Amino acid sequence: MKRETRSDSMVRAIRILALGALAAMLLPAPSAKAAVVPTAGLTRIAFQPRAAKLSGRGVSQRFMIFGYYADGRVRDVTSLAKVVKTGPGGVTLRGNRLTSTLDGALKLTATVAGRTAAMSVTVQDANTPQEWSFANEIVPIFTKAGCNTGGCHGSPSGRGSFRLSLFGYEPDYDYDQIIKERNGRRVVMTNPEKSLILQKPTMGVPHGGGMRFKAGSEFYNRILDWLRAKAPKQGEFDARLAKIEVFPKEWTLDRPGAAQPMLVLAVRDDGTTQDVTHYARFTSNDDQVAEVDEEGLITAKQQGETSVMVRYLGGVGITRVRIPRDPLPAAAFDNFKPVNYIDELVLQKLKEVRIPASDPASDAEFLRRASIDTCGVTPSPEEARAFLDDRDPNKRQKLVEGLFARPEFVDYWTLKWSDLFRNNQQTKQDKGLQVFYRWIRDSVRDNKPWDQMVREMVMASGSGFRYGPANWYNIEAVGEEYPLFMASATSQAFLGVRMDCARCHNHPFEAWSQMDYYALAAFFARTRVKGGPDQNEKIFYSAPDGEVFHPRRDRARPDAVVPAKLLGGDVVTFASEEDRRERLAAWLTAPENYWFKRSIANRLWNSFFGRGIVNPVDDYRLTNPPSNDRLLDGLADRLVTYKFDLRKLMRDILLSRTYQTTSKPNKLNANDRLYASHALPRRLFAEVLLDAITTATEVPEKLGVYEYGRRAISIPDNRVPNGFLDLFGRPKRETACECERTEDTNVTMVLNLLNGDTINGRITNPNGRVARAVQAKKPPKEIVEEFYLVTVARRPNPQEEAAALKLIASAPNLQSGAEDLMWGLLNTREFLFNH
Amino acid sequence: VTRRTTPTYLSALAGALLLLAGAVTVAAQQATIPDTPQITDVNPPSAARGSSVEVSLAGQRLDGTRGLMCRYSPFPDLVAPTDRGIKVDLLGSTEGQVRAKLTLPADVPPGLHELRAQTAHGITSPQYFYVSQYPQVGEQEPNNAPGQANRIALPATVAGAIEAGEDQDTFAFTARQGEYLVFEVEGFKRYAPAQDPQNGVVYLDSFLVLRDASGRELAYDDDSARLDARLAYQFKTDGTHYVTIRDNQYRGGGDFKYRLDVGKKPVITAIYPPGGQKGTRMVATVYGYNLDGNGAVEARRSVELSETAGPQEFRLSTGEGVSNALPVVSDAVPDTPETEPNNRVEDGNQVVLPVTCSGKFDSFNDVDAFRFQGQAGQRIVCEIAASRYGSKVDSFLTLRTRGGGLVARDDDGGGMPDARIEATLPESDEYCIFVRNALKTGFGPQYFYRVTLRSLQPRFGVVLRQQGVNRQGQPVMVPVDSITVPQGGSTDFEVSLRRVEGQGGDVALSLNVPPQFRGMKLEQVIKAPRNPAGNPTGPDRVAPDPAVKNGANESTVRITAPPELAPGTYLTLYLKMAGNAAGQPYVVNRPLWLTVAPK
Repeated sequence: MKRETRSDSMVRAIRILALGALAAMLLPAPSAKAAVVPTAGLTRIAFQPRAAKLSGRGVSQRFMIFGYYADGRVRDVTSLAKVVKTGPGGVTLRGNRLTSTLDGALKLTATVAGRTAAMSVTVQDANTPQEWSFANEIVPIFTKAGCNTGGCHGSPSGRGSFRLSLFGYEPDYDYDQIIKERNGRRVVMTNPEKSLILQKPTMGVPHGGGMRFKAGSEFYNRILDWLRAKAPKQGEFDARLAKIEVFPKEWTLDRPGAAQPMLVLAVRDDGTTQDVTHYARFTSNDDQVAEVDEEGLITAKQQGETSVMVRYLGGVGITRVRIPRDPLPAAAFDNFKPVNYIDELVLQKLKEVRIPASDPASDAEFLRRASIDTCGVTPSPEEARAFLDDRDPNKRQKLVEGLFARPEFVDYWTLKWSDLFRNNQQTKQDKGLQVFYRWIRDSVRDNKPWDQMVREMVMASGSGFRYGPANWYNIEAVGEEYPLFMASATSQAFLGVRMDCARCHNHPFEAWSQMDYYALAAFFARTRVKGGPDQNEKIFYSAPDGEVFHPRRDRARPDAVVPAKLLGGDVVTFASEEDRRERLAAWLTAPENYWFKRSIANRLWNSFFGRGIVNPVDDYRLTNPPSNDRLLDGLADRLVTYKFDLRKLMRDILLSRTYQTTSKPNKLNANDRLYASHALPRRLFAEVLLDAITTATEVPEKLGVYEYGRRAISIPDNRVPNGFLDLFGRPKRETACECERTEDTNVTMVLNLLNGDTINGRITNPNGRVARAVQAKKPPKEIVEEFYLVTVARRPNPQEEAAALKLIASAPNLQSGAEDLMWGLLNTREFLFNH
Repeated sequence: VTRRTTPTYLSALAGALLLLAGAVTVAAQQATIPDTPQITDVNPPSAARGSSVEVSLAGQRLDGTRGLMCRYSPFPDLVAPTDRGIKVDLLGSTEGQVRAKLTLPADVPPGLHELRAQTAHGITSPQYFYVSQYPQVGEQEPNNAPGQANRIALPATVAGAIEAGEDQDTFAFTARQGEYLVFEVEGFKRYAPAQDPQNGVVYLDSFLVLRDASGRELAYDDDSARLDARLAYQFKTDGTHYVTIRDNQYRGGGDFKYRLDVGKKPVITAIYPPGGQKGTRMVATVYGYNLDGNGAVEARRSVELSETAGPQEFRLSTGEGVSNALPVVSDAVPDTPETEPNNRVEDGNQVVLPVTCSGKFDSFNDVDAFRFQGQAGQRIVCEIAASRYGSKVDSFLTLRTRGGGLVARDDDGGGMPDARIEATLPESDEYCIFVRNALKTGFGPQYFYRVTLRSLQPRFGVVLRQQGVNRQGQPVMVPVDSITVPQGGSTDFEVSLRRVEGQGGDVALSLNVPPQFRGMKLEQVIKAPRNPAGNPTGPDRVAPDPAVKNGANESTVRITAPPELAPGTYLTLYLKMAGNAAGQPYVVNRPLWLTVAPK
């Protein structure tokens, strides 16, 4: 066998590149043009918020007035409004700011261009002197000034021996840190101005964190007043803030440069509201589209959509922002003829965001993409030829049904679920790995409904060596960590909700509190493990006792035990010896569960489109909204109708016009990654790529102890030693995070493909496809067609064919020429990517 | 923790302890006594019944072997093995080898039979020899894939081995549409240690895959018979099919021998009820495969329960073969089967102590409740016998007062995973015991249990031990059932009691020997005190009247053989242990094989 040297392959690379790309793909072209905003057609106006309840004297709050237009647009018309007040209650009105003066109810009436709207306001306790609330008035200053971020005093070890709770989620702790820790040296009650808590952030003394606010600023004065009042603290703060409300919730900005202020209200559990905009933190999810300043003023930067995240104490909220693209003629969508509900929902969105879809995919594109997405395989030349030459108008439907019937369908989805269910040898042992694999495989083969699969796992008891789903519970964590880890894994895998942040503190980007997390973990507090008759065998079962304890409360306290509570639901009480997981499983997999159906629908969408409607797929949260809510809702509801039969939803996706869109972008959708206007090219992931190379070269890889010739997608053990699979991002299956599998590309991968043995060893293998084509004395034209079909599932176009024949002819001999051609094809983006 | 511990089942009201010589055999293989005779290999390890075969036993100190002991029990942890009529003709012995011809009667039970050599230096611990019911055929490598399959005629027992990690053995056979075949592996699990801390399980964990002529997978099995695979399949088409055996984890090696039965033999998976009162006739339903040779999964059978309390062997035969064995239990007390519905206290079955109730779980969430009258201060035992008899139940017991107050509960206290409660009743009232399957892994007749409710029965079990070494060479006490004494000399061994349910007091030890061996002597060994380095400060002393004293569980004794007993003398003697239980004399006679070796 010819031995390839590094310089040989470099020469080969240069020769081929000099001849031009054998298979090229269009690259996206950016486009941007400002839109024109209409100004007439106001139909009605409304206050935001529609009601306010102010408690205390001098409490102020702003309002906004939104105008609704005939064309469906909404604009902020506050500045145009004439506002009058009626009723006994007392407020002063300055611009759009109310300040309480007298107890009682009143009504505000606004008028804009003949349209009117009303807002009711209640003032209470206006005669009661305002009491200080450390949690509500001081802690937000630390958050706003950035003192308690994870990179500063909010880090687990604090900074400069001063630690605050992250984003102020634990005011009690913060109070003690400021007032009591270090013998109270952070505050000087007799001379409040000398307090370190004021000296440091104003740089009165050196401060590693720099200037956070100035002496004499509002923040400074507020802290100073509080210290002068002897730094009072109120009781149980945690319960005070019920939620925050953000206005507007959705906003369209006409053009880049346009701006819109935001209003953030804290709603407390007694129903009173407070304008906390000044204390809230704002973050844009995409600064390229819109940015937001410290006071919540959103400024449009370029056409597109994004959201602005708002955080105040434990509350989070978002405003979705759109800067519409230029209007398109109706004919721009004529190339997209919906065939099912998916298409209707996608088209509706595309029209809203004014992005036209690309043209339909060619047969070759569809064949290759559907084969990879459904079965993790690339077509053989025979399959490609048969499909391309088939004149049946229903051949795509036939292909889809054929894919579902292939054994590789079972292999591929077993691999995917094995990743998600963390089926690895290290925790499950060899035996558990095989048993779990078989269970997943049987479930996929039998098309077991997803909710049933999940229920079987969540409710599993028994030996990991005898009962596959019991291995779901086989993780490394032990003791008090165990229920916490199980709660994270369960919520991330099946709800798409990441709870990990809430382990140490309230979730900074979501409404989940630390107690929500512990309360979910309480469902696993009685899940235990015991040994079995075999070496390393583990038996998982539900014990009659065991609790999750509050992380900081004394165990002797009656409230130290955290009761089990479903996410967003009520506390659950159990009968004696009841397996807590049964209630969890019932709630988790119920059709009513908001996240469960969306999570799996989104995972499937991600599998077929390379990007979730919520992305990442396992990070469903308020501050990471879906790119197309109606589509996600539609898919989720359909899945419920289908009783969680995943194949049915896959079929809908595969047969949709949306899926059957080419990856070649048009001028207006090249930048779109959110709305499925065109297919997104994705690098083949590790196992699929290795199998595709094997299919192309007909030289299989020996993987561990498994049979020679067995596809990488069908190997149960993800730790079978293989450098190629590691390099190309095979996941370790240690967490339930989709992010473990990488699909990015780096230089080492490129070098491996260009120079490594993976391809060079195969194209020169005397038993491989290349050698056999030459031995069979196939004419070069036939070889070119076969190699194109087996790599990119299509025949070459005339230019490509000419270039390929020239390449072969210029080689020292046919073998060398055929090797060069195969090498070149295997290194094209068209081969390496699913598109 | 292994299930292969000394069995905890003690026949309910019997005065004498059921003693199982076989119980020490597996433990004995994990640790050995240096310089004692041992068998390490049997070759060939199997033959069909009705045939004769020359076997070679390899080992150490096998010179002067006088005979082989062939004994059998389908569940040696429960029922002591007995001679089943295998005829042995000794062909010769050397230090490292014994050769013999075994003649296997046609009616000898199929299964793993233990073989021990009676050497001049004592009786070895056992190795195993598999008796198959079908003619044996060998395998021919390579046979990994259907294209390389070895064709077999049915019925057959394939004698093969998974020689290396990537080995798979595939066999082609012809099946007819509608035909019901059973594929069952014997993986020689008893041949190897149950666990190995370094290497994990080191015997075959067999995995069977059945394929049709096109290679499509029809069925597979991993662990239907513990780590052995077993498949029963009714064929949908005529023609060639393939069965492949491999290790579940793709391991392999010299010890990975297997015997694969392929035929229409019946297989039983459960019998219900699983037992009844001793000396009675019980009509039971047998569950399994091919119970009539044609796919029946249920059969009714009348079972004669033995006069002796304890488990007995049950098999079912058809014209196509004989099934595996399951235990059926004879009880000294009346056996009351549960009556559904009895999930709640108010539906609980009324019982009177002492009682044994047979039950099974009929759904994942089935709970069985039994109500009984108790007296304040009464000490009671509630114990489950399920897993030890082959049930798939991992039982859980909860004892509650009439009002629902918790008295006690337990998961695995009766010897993993059988539950057991020992409790003092707080008041004279009605109580309720709830039995459930903690794992909810399934239901049906394979999920049966027997629950016994009774007063405390103080008693003890015994293990005899000698100093040996474990697999790492560290000193450990090794259970023995055979002792070797040099002519005119003596040997020390330890008597280790397991006192249960409050048994206490001195237990006097003496020998119960046939009259011609009266010269045997048993004395107490009084160990010399140890110095700080742990070495004895002088010779051990002996004293008359050996006993295990009150408060202790161990005692070392010395047995001395008179000079007139010639080398080569074998005898079975009894170690008599006389104590008391609940104020009554309690005597156990423990059999012990003794060999007189040359000086």
